Formats: sequence, C-alpha cells, structure tokens
Amino acid sequence: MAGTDEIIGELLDVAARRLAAYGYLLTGSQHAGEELVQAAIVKVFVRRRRIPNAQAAEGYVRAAMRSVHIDRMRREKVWRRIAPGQVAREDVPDHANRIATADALGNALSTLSPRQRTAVVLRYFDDLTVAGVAAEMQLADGTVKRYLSEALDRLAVVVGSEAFEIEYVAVVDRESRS
Amino acid sequence: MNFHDELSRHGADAAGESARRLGTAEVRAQLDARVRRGRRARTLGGAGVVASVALVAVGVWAVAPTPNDEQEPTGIHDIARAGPYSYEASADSRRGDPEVKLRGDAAVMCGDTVDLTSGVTVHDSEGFERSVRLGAELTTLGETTDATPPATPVPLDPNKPDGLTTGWDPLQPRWSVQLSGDVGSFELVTLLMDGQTVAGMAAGTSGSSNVTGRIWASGGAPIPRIGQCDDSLDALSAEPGDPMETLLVAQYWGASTSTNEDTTLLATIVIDPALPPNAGASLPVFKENNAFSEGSMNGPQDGVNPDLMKASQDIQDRFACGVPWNLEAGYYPRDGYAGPMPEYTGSLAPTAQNAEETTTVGEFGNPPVLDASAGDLAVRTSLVAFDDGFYDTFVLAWVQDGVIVGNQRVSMAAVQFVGDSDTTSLSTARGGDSSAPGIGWAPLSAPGACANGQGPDFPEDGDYQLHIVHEYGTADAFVDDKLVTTSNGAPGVDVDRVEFRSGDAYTQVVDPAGGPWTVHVIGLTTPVTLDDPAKLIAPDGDVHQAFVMERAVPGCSALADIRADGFPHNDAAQYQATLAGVTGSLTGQLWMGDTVATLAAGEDPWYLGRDAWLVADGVSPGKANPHVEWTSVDGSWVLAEGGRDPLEAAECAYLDPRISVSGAVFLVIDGVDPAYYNDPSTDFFALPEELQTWIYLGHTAPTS
Repeated sequence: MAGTDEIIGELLDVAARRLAAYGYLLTGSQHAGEELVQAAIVKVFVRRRRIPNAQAAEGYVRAAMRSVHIDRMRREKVWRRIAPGQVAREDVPDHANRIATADALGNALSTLSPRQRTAVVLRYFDDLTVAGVAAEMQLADGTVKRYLSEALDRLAVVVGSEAFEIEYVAVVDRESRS
Repeated sequence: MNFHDELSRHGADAAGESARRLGTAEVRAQLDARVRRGRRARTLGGAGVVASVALVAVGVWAVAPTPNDEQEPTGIHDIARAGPYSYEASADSRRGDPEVKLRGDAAVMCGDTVDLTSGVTVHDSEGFERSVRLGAELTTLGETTDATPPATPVPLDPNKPDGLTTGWDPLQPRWSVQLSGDVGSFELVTLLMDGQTVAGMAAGTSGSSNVTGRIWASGGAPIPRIGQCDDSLDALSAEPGDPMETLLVAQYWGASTSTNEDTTLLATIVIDPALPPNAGASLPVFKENNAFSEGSMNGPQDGVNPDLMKASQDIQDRFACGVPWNLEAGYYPRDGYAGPMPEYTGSLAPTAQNAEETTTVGEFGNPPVLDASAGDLAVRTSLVAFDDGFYDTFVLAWVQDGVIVGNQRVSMAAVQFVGDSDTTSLSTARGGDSSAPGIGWAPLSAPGACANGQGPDFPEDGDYQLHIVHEYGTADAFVDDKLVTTSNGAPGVDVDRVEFRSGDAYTQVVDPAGGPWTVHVIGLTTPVTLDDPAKLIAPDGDVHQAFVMERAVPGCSALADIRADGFPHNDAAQYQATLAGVTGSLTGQLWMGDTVATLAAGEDPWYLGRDAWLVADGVSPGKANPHVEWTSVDGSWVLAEGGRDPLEAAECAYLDPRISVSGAVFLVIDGVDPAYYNDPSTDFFALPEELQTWIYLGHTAPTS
C-alpha cells in the first residue's frame, strides 16, 4: 500500500479541484476553503487508518471537511459567549472572493449566513436529506427547514424557484395524519 | 436547472486558483509535516515537555473548545513570551508611506511579500496629533481571558459524547493587546511571516466610532498558523504558527484636515517580538472578566480603556469582600495633589424609574435609576462632572456590620465633552440608549455577590449599606496616577428611595437622606415564591400576549415544569405579538397532531420554521409539552405536533397519549422576534438564541 505522503500527493493531483470547490462552497472564502481542505487532510491522515488509495481518501476528507467546518461554526458561537474579546469582530477582506462572487449565484450565496450557507450546501450539493442535514449540523429538523427556506428565498431570485421545487411539495400529507 | 450542478459549477469556477495552490509542492510538504507532527503528538499523548533555546516550553494540546478525541491533535508548541512593547505616535515619529495596508483593494493577503519596519510610521500629518498607541505583550490565551477551562470538559452536544467539548487550552500563545487613539477606526492583524512572505494572518480586532473622541480596544490577538488566512477563530482551535515569527500590525484611520477625508490612513504601528521589550513593566493584561461582563466598559465604541481596566482592578482589590469598611464619606486626594476635586453636580441617589425618561447626555443632575424591569437588578447613576482626569472607576460596595459583604465594579465611560469638562456616567456595554451614547444600565449585584467568587456566602436577610466609591485621575498606559478617591456622602451626594426586584429576590430600600444607603433585604434566602404571576390577557384576533423568557433546560417536561412554577411572571418581558392563523380550538387534539396554526403561502413571519412547543396548565396523560413543527402543505405552512424535540432529555418516557388538557395554553417558540429584541425600549441580558417566546393562546375549551 502506498505511503501517506504518496496518497496525499495523489489525492491532491486528482481531487484538489473538487475539494477546493467544496471548501469554497462551505466557507464562502477561497482562503478559508483551502485551509479547510488542509485541516481535513491532516485530520484524516493523523489517525493511522487503512486508506488504500486517493479515491477512498477523498471520501474521508470530504466528510472531515464537513465536520471540521460545522465544529468551527459551533466553536465560534461558544467562544463568543465565553470571551467575546478573543474573537475578531470583522473578517479580514478576502479579495479573491470579490472575483468569485462576481456571478449572480456567488453574490446570492454571499448574502447567506454561515449556517444558511452550510445547510444549502449539505442539502443541495451533498444531496443530504433535511434530516441528514439536521444530524450533521446538530440542529432540529425545523431549524434546518427554516435555514433552507430563508436561503432559498434569496437564491430563487437568481436560479429560479423551480430549482428547489422539491422543497415546496407537501412534506406531510395532512389527510394521512388524521 | 439543476441546483446541484449550479453549485458545482460555481464552486469550481471560484476555487480554481485554490486548487492550483493546493497542488503545489509547498502545500504538500506542509501537509506531510503537519501529519507527522500530529502523529508524533498523538504518540506523546500531550504530556511531553520540550526545551527550546531561551524559551520555556511545555507540551500542550491547543484546541478550544476541544473535541474529545476526534479532533486532530494539534501538536506541541512552545510558550513564547515577548515584550511588553509600547509605541505611540509623537512628533519624533518616522513619517513615510504605508508598507502594508490592512484595508482596501490592496489589503495584505497570504503570499504577499512585505518588508515592515517596527515601530510607528505616520502617513498623514494628522497622525502626529492623534495619540495613536499600541501596547502588546506576547503571552498565553489563559492570561488574556478570565474564562477558565473546565476541569472535566463536557460535550456541547449530549448526544455526541465524542464530539466538541467545552475544553480549551489556556497555554496557547496569544498577543495581549491594548490600542487607542483619537481616530475614527482602526484595524489590527497578526501576520505570520516566512521571511518577508506572509504565510498566515489572523484578525485581532477592529473598531470604529461615529463619536469624536478616543477609541480604546483591548483583548487578545490570535497567532495564525501557516496557511491560515482569514479564519481568525481557527487560531483558537488549531496548532498556531511560531509566535516569534509573527508581526502585530495596527493601522488607524480618521479625518484629515489636509484631505478632508474621514478614511485617511493616519499611521501604522508594527510590533516585532524579536526585538527587546521597550516598556518598563508588564501590561495590565485585559481579561474578559466573567464576573463583570455586564459592566464592561463603553468607550465611544466597544473598546476598553486599558487605564480604566487597571484602575478598576486596583480599586476592586482594595474593596474586596471581607475587608473592613473604613472609608468615611469625603474626598481623599493623593498625597501632594493640589488640583481640582471632582465636582458632583448631580445626585448619586437612586430614585424612581421614571427618571430615565429625562436623562440625556450632557444634562447634569439626573439621579440614578434602579431598574426593575429587566429581571436583574440594575443601576444607572446620575451624571458626574469634573474638571480633569483621564479615568474613572466606580465600585458599589455592600457593607454589613462594618465589613464589605458584596462588591461590584461598575463601569464608567467618558461619553461626551461639555465645555471644559468631561461628562461621565455609569454605563453598560449592553442596553445602552442609542440616542444617548454611554447612557445605559449596569446590573447591580445583590449583597453576597463578590468579584471572582470571593467573599462570604449568600447573606441572610438583613440590613446592608450600599456605598459608592469613585476614583479618578490621570494615567498613561502603564503608570497608575490616582488623584482622588471619593466615598459617597461627599457634598452633593444624598439619598432618596428605591425599590427594585429581581427574578428570585425582592429587596426594598427605604432610606434617610444623606447616605450611605441602608438597604433592607427581604426574601433573598427564602424559597422563590412567585406571588405575582402574569395576568393573562385573552387574544384579540391575531394579537396575543407574549412573554420572553430564558430558554428552558432539556428535560422530560421542561416547559411544563416552568409553567408549574408560576411562570410567565410579571417580571418577564411582555409585548403584544401577532400570530396569524391560530386554531380556535384548544383541546387535547392539538397534542394529537391537530393543526395549531396555519400560515398562508407567502407569509414569512420570524417564527416560521423555528422549534416550538405546546404547554398547558394541565395535561393528562401523555407528553406535557410536545414539540410542534412547521411543514409545508401545498405552499402554505402548517404547525402541528411532530419533529425532533431538542428539549427532550434522552431518558424520558411518556404514557400513551389520551390527552386532555386544561387551563391556560401557550405556544412556546425558540428565540425572540428580532424586531422586539432590537427595539430600543427593550433591554435583554441574553442573546436571542438564549431566549424563548411564550405566546398565550387562551384557555382550553370546556370539556364535554
């Protein structure tokens, strides 16, 4: 079996673009996305596990990216309460983002809160169910639905509501409940 | 159009350059090194001790808060110390163009090559006049916060015992920073340098002010790690870079008389930890002090005056719980001081709450107000005027039998210049009146509440005297130069009458004039009995009586238990909420899945999609406060029983539902209406996510 450095190299050869895109979609920032990819790779490979090839590693890394990203959001919330002075109040400008958000979808995504954005990516990019998104984000289903509803209202202006048609069909058949 | 594909396209387009960077040999080498370091750290188990030249080095995990074991072990880092440093612009300061910019299109970013000169560089002639200053010391996270990592970290999510915990590492390196200037705004970042290349960067703090006057800021600036470029929080949670390879960079902007632009870059200050300290003594480290978090300072913005912090800590120590009270009313000038004394043009006496309406900045003589509305005890004093002085410190001290049995530092802020005098008032960081900067409420602790947990146990009912101690003086950043200490009872200070309540205590003050105030404390040690539950008002169409209360703690009948204790109480914040489409039939069928409310298509009120519950006075049998959820039905939204209940503890079991309900019925919704929360007339001591809104639906229909 290939060594860790070889697999990491192969992973970056074949999947860097996909992982970078995923990191960008989750974080809304190229730099933060890159950092997320690296953090996830380190997290996966620090634990000595059997990862036979780059293809398998990509799955591990994507899952780790999701959990690291969500943990960071939760950690920020906690830390702001523990010691707000320890958390920067404003982001440092990410100039690359200005280019990235030049298109309409990018602009619309940039208006979402981090949680809304994450919910949208998990729901529509990772194709998780609402329950799956809720489990990943450690939120109630209703909260995720609210995030998605609010986010889709904004995104629908850009991509059209038909893209989210599935979200508007009845989730619960009222007749069958009685 | 397929949204998944749209997202894929957008992500790929946006991240093309990122993919290229990730594929470079440099990133691969860094990743390999981090993996090796992490594996080594796992092997060592975090207990290693490492020596390094000229540095004390202790092995630690650097995660905050920490997952139990899933998180990447973040390696071993050194505890590096440097400084203290202090730089202030003066007529002798170097003048030149900025070597780096922290804002704008040319703002520094990772990969940039910069050559920074330590110290002050003034870029506009105004920069010489604005007293811009940066003090810093390289220390640890634990020393820049009063928060304490728990001895036994617990998972943030009880359902994920291996997930994120409340633990964090106090030994993580950290810049302790103090920054000030008569400027409009400032920005502070920590750059991690690889030679002259920016290898990482983390935002420290930033601020701006619409009020002419000095800005202060103090706190911790994180140490970035290699490759970290804009996620400042990540510095709390991962192995930072070498703190000795960082540069602390602050820039200051403000109006320039030459350019007449308020965004003129005035000066840059760079601190390099490789240089020897240039300040004589350690900085008075600012800490996020939980004990006084409600009373933290308000300058013209959210910054903190370091001088005030130091003086506050000093006076706090001298009037600590357990210390005999021996300060008679009067003035106590420092030896040799012959300058002006503080001149109290107003009363320091508490009085009725309606005085609040007459208090405006610059208007002297308004008495303080003890607030009965917010659930916590709160105080607002009169304005105080004095002719000189740079800092104020106030302590409220409860005294019984000649001994201090409660103390509280109350923050002050110089909020406006009026003629030749500063105007100062008690103020708080939260709940201030936006139309009157600096005027707000400070929570008033009950007797027995002592700073940092020191002092006696919770006191018995009895009589307590409440004293105010005021100190003011001039100071520079690191030299305490106290001028005058004043105890209440000084000329002009008198006493009126006050009554106030808190959620779990009732106190009354009936006092003679002339202070100090005698406070008869009643009911502090008796069990909480709510003799004043809210009078419920039947809904009027869509308009419902609503209460905002603290979010319930998970349990098997968390909300029903709160109701059984007599809440909502009259002390809870109340308002009239509009809740459309509520069913008119309040029976047990609601507990069985009947529709609680329906929203027509297109409606999007604040509560749509939030977690919600039903609560009634009597429920038998079944789940007392079932969770209800919003579901979409043909475009409209329906609220009915269902969904995962985040307030339900894991061990709960319920009887089969054959539910009948009686008494008052409430719909409890997670959170609070943003419009109500942000209304200037409200003053919450909690974040919106820490609150729940109880909406009174009415009494149950008679059971047939």
